[in-house]
Amino acid sequence: MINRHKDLDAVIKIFLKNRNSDEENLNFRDIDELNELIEFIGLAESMHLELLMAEPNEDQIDSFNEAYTLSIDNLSSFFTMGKTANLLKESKDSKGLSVKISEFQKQILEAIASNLSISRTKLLQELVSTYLDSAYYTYLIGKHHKSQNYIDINALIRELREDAIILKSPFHVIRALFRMRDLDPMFNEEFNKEFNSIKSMENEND
Amino acid sequence: MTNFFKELGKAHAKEFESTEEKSSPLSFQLEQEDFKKLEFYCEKLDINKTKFINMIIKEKLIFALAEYLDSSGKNLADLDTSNLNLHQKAYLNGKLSLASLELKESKEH
Repeated sequence: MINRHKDLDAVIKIFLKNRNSDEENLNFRDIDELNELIEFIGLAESMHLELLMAEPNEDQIDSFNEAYTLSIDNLSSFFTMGKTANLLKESKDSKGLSVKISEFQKQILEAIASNLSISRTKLLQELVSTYLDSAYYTYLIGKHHKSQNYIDINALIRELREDAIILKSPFHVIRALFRMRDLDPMFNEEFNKEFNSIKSMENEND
Repeated sequence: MTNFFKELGKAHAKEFESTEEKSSPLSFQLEQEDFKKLEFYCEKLDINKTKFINMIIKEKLIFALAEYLDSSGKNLADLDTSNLNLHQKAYLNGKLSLASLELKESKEH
């Protein structure tokens, strides 16, 4: 907790820094600006000052801005609650599976889940769905990696196209190329080709 | 020209670095779409789901934690590790430092 009188200057400085503003540009006659500052002081009181003083990273600034832009009557904490509810909602269209994991990893998983305030199963579900495709794409890159500077991209794309038919997923190829495009300029080139071909097909259908 | 045996050795060194440990089952849910893909990917890689998921846990669990810490503005000191033993804490600390570096590098690129 902070001492309001003692640290008020510091809090105002942080507030100005977060708004990319300075004292000269502030106009407290504007009631919205004053409300914003009062709300910020409230926030500062519920947090450690060091936390506020830490340089906010881009993700934090984005979520801070998003919550403010998309809330009605500046009720940003309710927006955040809604976002969290959405993140934690269980899908009805899911299937159960059981896997064996080592006791060591299980305990680490348990500790991490508890720190994230989610269940161990939710953590595992999100971890797998987040990295499932990347894992497979990486496998394909390894499979078609012929030498230090050469990946047989044509063979890789051919395999992705075969997969797409089996998976009945028309965007399987472009999704994979999108993820691979930063690895090698050739992937980027193939991604652009695929993108343009999908676009021209869409135009034809229109 | 690559040396087949050298490359195979390198691949196996990475593949078999895990040691046999006591394990227990853990059940969880996956969305139908992801489940279908997991089955397909495992078939292609010729491994079972347990192996696939364990590989993801091993490579990405701590990285996911690093991402969470980064976006929440928290750090290692904010974590409650009271339920972990010394060995597990050391593992978490070491892996988390590496994951944070990896995350920092990926953001710079």
